[in-house]
Amino acid sequence: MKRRTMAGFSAFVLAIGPAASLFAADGVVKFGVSSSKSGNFANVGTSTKNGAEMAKQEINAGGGLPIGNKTYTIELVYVDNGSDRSSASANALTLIGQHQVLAIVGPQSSDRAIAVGEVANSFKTPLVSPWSTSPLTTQNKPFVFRMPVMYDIQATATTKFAAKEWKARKAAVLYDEISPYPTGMAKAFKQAFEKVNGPGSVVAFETFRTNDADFSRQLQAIINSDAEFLYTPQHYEEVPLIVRQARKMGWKKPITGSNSWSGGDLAGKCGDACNGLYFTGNFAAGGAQGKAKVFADHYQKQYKMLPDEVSALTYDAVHMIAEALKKTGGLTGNIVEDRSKLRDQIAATKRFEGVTGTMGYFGTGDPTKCTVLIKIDDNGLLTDYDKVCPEK
Amino acid sequence: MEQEKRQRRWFGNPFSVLTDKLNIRGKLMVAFAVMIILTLVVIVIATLSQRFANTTIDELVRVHGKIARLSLDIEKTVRVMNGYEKDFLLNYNRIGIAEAKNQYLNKFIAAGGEAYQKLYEIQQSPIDAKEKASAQHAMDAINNYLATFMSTVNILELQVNPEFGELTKLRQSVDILRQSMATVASPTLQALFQSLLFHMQEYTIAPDSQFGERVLGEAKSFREAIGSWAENPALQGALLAQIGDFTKWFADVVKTDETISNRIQAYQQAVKQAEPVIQAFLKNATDNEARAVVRMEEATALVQKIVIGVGIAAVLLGLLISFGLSKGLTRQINLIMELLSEMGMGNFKARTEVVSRDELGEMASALNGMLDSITALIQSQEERDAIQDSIMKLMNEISDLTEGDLTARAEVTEDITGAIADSFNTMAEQFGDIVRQVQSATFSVDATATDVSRRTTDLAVKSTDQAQQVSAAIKALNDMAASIRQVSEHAARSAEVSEMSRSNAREGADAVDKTNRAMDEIREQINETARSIKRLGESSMEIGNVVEIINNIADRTSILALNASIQAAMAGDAGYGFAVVAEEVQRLAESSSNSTKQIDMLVKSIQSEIKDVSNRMDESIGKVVQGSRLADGAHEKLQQIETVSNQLADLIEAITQAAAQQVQMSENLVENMVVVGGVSDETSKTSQETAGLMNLLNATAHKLREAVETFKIENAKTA
Repeated sequence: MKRRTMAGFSAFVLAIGPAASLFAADGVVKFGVSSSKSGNFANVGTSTKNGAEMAKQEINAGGGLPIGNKTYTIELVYVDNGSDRSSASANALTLIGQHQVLAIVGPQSSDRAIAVGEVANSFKTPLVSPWSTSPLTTQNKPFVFRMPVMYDIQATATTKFAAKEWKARKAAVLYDEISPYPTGMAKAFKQAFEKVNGPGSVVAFETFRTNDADFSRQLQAIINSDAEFLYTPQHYEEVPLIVRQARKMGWKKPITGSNSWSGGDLAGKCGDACNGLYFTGNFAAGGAQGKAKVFADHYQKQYKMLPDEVSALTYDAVHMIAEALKKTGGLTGNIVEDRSKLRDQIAATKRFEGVTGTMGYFGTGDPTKCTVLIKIDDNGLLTDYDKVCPEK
Repeated sequence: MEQEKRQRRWFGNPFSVLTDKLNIRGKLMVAFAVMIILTLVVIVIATLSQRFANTTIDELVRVHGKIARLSLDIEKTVRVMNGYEKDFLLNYNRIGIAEAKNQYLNKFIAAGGEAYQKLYEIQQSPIDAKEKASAQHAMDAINNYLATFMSTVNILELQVNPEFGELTKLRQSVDILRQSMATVASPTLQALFQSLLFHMQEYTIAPDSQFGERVLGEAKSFREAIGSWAENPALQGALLAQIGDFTKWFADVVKTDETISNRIQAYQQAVKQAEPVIQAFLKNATDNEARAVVRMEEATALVQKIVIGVGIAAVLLGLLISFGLSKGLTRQINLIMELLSEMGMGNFKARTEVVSRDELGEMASALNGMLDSITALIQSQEERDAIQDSIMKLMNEISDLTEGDLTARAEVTEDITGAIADSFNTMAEQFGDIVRQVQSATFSVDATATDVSRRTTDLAVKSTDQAQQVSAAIKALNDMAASIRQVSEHAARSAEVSEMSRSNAREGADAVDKTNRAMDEIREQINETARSIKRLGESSMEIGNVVEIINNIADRTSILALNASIQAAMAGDAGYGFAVVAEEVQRLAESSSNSTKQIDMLVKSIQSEIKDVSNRMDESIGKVVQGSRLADGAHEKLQQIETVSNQLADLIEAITQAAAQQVQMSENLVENMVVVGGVSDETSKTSQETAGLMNLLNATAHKLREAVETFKIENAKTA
């Protein structure tokens, strides 16, 4: 009788297919995902969720995550930080204190990642920001990690590219002085560019404030200078406005930027105005090969759109944490101890092969990996144009 | 009949029910075995009770003690957080927001992290769901406090950041406006600008939305005035752009100020909500500890009762066993003696009751059998009489035997009683030997039993000692709890003091701020006044020169007119027309002279303006005095803060001493526990001694067995 019940149960489990792993697992590991479902970065929030969900489904459908001699399913707890620093910090406290998550993925933008990183580090909870490039995010925070390449590496790559592609020796910069990411990126670029082309080679260094929409005053100053290209490390909300206004005011020289361009639907918002522009980043769906190609195809099939940098980095972040969890050799059930074990394993990562390239942490919070030069092609598709890798 | 006897035995002595099938050796073995088992049971119960008491102490010390300690730590951490929060608000203006975040906010968050980990540790302890929920509640309250304060800092940063803060931007826009206005001569515009600056100062002193509205109103009328000012179109355009910038930044500052005050209220609310939650949590932990202490006391009392109860039961059972054993041995002898006395009185029909199945019982059966044979042998009355006489004689001779004198011997005669007397004598001899040995064995058993009971009593006394030691430990733990409470009170008082120092410090900071602003204003006014005076001086000098020139001209014109009229008079009629001209010239000179007088009056009015200016200077001096008074006030407040800080230091010292006392208490506790260990060592030694005694008892039993074996051989021979 009992055997028959078991057989019936197994048949039921087999019948419902992919969910079978849910019954087979010995437990659940919870990750928190802090992203923007609302506010200026809602688009980034969608990419975050898509990437994270895809990684989760792959792991759970493959029979769960083996840690020690047990198998776990992954559960993701999403919180909406509303693209706001204060909400992001408060949400992180909820994830740590109430949901008791093992690790946090996100926030994406440095503005939130720096603030939340401070909280996660103080609460000894591993945090992986898939997209934040500001050095401050991981500085003196052993529990905080990032997925993308940092400011200085991108700045050097842009400087080299400008010399090679445009023979440019003078640059103009336009950035949002309140938000930490554009500020940090702009300063890093100025430093890298002037190191190569001499002090004063950044001939215009113009600022605006978050939520500004009129850049005519700053653009006029840039047009009046003898800059050979414009560098604007802004997000997809501002870049189309800046490009259109600059073109309208008669600026015909190149406009370039950093990985913040690749989050959200920049090409869609900008239309033809942005076609042919280059920027530095971590991933582009166009021209993807190998693992990245498989990911891009799978993603397109599931969400009816191409993956952007944020979704690819988030996908990699979830897989990278899962790999580190496997290496812990078993969970104690005491969340404080397990978090420390997980942190040690993430920091010890030497070679993780993701869809955004191969990377390692080697005891730090910043990955060693290649920078990608991305071109917006004539159809508005972000394509992998070139790579600049760390010297070995 | 047989049944009735058996029933009586049932009620008579329950011990004999168990032993009446055994021989004497068996009975003694059973008795010793029971004594050994009793001793073992007492030892086992004492050990178990001790372990039970130890477990209770473990629970108290490890779980509730730890939770109480962690709770105190958490409360302390929250106080530390309060401290960082206050330091941040007091110092961010002085050291800059970035440094303040680094120095205080990050530490504030780190303290929050510590509190979280301690609360999680409490949640991981074996506590009930209600306590877990209350720890979660405290965790949520602390996290809410953290979140609201962090959000306050974020909005504050937007305002005061030296690179992009709104205040920096506002200051820059005011500086640009000032530079532009220095080149504007229009008094109306100057007056409006001064009024705008004045109202802005007023707002910075008291950032209130009403004052803010007023400044924005002033800015609007200033902008309108510039709009209708047409002297310098280029400057007008620049000024319009600059006042536009100013208005934007000022509106932003007002908005942010309002947000900040809302946020500050929100987090103060959060602090207010967190305080009682943490206090309740702490109280709960202390109460639990107190309850655990009570439980331990109860457990100890129970253990004491069990040990005493078992001791008494063991003594009673020992008494019962010795009573039962001795009764089992003497009862059969008494019955045999009764039969012999019946036989002495010639009653050969009497038979003795067989109550035991040991050797004495066999002897009684043999007597009965012998009497049966005797009765059959007696044929006649004479024989019976003779036999009766012989028996009477025998009775007399062995009557001493019935009184326990085993030295008595019967005379062995030729008649029928001779054999009886002979066998009696032999029996008496052997019986005497047996009884001697039984007596000595019984004495040994008695002595051993006494010793065992003494040891058991000893054990009971030691157990009582142990219980007292445990009580002492409890008292020490109580004291510890009291000092912990004292520490908590000190902490509460230090919180009040810290609150006082906070408000004082805030007043001090405000006062210093006001002074600074008043100074600024004074400097501005003095500058302005100096410029006015300079301009006025220059103007009045020029006017003096011009007046002098005009005066000269008028004088010379007057002389000219006089000369002309003289010349005209000399020319006669022909000079008439010229005379008219001369008269006109004369009138012109007079009117010039009148104008000079008017100018003179104007100069006087300028002088009065200068006087006005000097009055404004006086006013400025008044402001300076006010400023210095404010500075004095600030100084005094700061001194008060110092005194309060000293008090705080004393209190913290007191807390440290209390903690030291706590450590001492813990040491005492450890010592007491060591004594408890010693006592249990002794208990084990006593058990060893008991075992030795048991060996002795064994030896005695061996001796008794030998004696009884002898008896058996004689019996066989007789048979």
